[in-house]
Amino acid sequence: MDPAHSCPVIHWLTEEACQRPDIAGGKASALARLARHAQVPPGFAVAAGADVSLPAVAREVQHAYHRLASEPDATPWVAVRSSAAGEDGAAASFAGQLDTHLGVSGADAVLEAVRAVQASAASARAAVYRQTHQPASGSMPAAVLVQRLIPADAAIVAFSRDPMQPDGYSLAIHATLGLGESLVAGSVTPDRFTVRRRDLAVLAAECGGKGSMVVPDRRGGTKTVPVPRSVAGQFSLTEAQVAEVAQLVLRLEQVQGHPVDIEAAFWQDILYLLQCRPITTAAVSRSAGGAEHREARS
Amino acid sequence: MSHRSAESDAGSLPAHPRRLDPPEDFPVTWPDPQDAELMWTHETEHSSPLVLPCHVAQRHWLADGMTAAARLYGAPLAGRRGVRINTYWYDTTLPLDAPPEDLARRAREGEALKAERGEDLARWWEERWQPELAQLLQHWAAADPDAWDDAALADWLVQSEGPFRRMWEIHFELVLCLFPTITAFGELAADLFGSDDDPISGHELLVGEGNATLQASLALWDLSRTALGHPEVLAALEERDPAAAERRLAGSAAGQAFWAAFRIWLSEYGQRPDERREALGANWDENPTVPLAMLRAHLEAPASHPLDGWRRRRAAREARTAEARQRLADYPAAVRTAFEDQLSRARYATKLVEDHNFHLDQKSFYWYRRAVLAAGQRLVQRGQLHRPEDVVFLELADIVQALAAAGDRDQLRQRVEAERAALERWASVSPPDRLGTERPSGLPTAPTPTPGPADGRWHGVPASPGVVQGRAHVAPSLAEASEVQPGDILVTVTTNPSWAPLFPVLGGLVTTVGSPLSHGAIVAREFGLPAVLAVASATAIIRTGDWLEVDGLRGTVTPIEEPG
Repeated sequence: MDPAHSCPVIHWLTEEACQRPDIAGGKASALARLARHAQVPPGFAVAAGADVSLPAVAREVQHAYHRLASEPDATPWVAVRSSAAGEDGAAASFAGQLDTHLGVSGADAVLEAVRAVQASAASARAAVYRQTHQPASGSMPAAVLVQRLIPADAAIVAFSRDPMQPDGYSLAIHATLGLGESLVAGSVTPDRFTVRRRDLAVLAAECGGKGSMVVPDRRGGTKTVPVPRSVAGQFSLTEAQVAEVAQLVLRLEQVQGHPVDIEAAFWQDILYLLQCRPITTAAVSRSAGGAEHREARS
Repeated sequence: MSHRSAESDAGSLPAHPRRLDPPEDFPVTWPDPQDAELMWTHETEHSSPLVLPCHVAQRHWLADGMTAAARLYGAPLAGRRGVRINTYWYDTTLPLDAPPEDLARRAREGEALKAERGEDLARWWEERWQPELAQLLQHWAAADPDAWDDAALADWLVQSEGPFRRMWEIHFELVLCLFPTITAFGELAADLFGSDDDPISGHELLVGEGNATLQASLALWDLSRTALGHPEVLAALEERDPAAAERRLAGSAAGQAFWAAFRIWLSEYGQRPDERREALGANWDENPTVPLAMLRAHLEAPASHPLDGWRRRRAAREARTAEARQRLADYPAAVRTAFEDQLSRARYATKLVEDHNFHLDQKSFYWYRRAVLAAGQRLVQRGQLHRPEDVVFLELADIVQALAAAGDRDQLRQRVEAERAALERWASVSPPDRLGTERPSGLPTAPTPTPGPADGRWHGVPASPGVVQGRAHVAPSLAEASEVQPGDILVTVTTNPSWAPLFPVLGGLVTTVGSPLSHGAIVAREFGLPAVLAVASATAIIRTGDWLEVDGLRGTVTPIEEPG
């Protein structure tokens, strides 16, 4: 494929073109399509094939970051993630295979993160993954998603069908304080809610120990800090928030036409959708929770 | 933890009991020989070491109030008993004998109740306890005992028991909520900032709240500035005897105005007993020797207003609070909310740690003194006592009985003289910290004293940050402390709020007992006074005139050469 610098480099999530996986990659195109159904943190895709070592391309990325960071009530941080084509498709639901940079701020740092994500997408680890699960899509730079980082009050993983309840009777919501890293990595015991799909009745609510939380670090990146003992004993979501998450995950299941698991975050009482994937067999087994969860993912 | 009652089954405790031999100069005769099996601790937290016979009833009500509140909050205790030995007060805690599941349930429910009240402290204090307190005080404030016959007076004294008991219940229901509230905030701050490069401690954010003690001290300082403008007032204040000072002040218009202003100060802040041994519990508005001495100390103090320092500390606290909020700015809302809620609660509790004493302890002892004095006056009229103040040498039951029947007049007077002599005799003896039988029980006991110095310094509990060098002034009692010079480091056993007006002239504070949450520590922080507490035997090892360096952050006291 041709070097892409003659084509547009930046595709905002709100743009039509961003919904195309061949341009924006799997993750960004999926989010762009879902933006009509859920609040998605604003951001843009750096198109697949964009060579950021070219000064003109680099300037476009930096310019887009400045625009993102200067929007009203913006935070300076962004999350820079791989949007490689193989991801977020029905065949492969794991994120974290490729580099993710959270809490990046400043145009130079963002450019550096984009470069690093592309490099890691091309790395041997990623190559092995593609060989085993899906044919490689060539050697051109992967699409990269740059999104405003939501400094979450609570991070959420939700399954439209509770993987532990194969009868499909209920959905499951896991939540903890701070950014979702600790939840996804399985490094904390989250609060767990079991919600009946039919009427959204909360069948079970279990307060997890939480232990630690991940927050943006003013010096760059994120940091893991203890959850204060007096806060760890409280649920990280209110009843109303649990209902809101349940409604969202059911709506997305309907839109997608298959059971989904999502990553989401509450910030200033707004529910943001961060990721939406089909539930796979792998997802079911990894949802057993705790340390095994982490093993399965990394 | 053992939940067996030491009283009912002392012999079978799985411990190695050790009988504590009292010092030779402190022979002990137990009222009940079984009492020697229990572990007794010298109680100095509530009012002075001086326990007059008339105070015995108050002490029992206090112990019962503490028991009631502690049980309400789920503590596994059956009661607290006190006993007056050689004019000193010792008390012991009796554990509750109940099945472990009962104790666990009590503890759970009690802790929940305590936490609930702690979270709503301002409402409980302002809308529940304080109004009730005002109503209870009416029992004495609205009374006119002079107008009553002997039987009515006796009846009123007997009926005083109910309101006094309730005051002590309120006291402990409140106090037991305060410390967990402050401790919880300290833990929160440690969790949030403890591992930062520049840790922010809970105390830094709680200082500078202000309280009634600070108000009293500031008002007295204002009076001292008035006095400085009038040479005739200054001259009159050189009289140590309050009556003599009053007579000399009456000789000039400025003096009369000053005395009137001082009386107003007394009516606001003088409703408290004088804890000096020779004052025998006189109230400050009755005998203002102590506040006058404090006034004189202010006259010799540096000319800066004590509020200047307080404002500086308050500004420093606000800066640190802003820094803390900045660090939390991107934390989850639940954490920021918890921080704000717990901060405001802990600040309120910090203020109440000091103010409850003003509103409860002092008022209780003040009105009790007034009530028994009214009886004392009547007993003088009946020819049973020489002077009204002699009534303090009688226990309450004896006072009531003396009012009810025309008893043997010589018998009462003999008892007064015997008690007065006993008090004088025991004044020169230091009472041991503990008596009875020591046994590991799981209940907290006083730490074993470890006299220093190690590595050339004494170690204690850091209670108020700052480093200061100064001359030591060793004063186990407030009477000796009134001779303190500006800038001195006060070395004492413990300070309760009566001492606080002295704090603005001090350079530092060292005590032999106490904790960072005790009255002395809180007031020291209010005044920015470096303080190290719980330096065992400090009053015995350090002598007045020694030079010391006090490091209130590290908790060390170092003997130094007098600066040239």
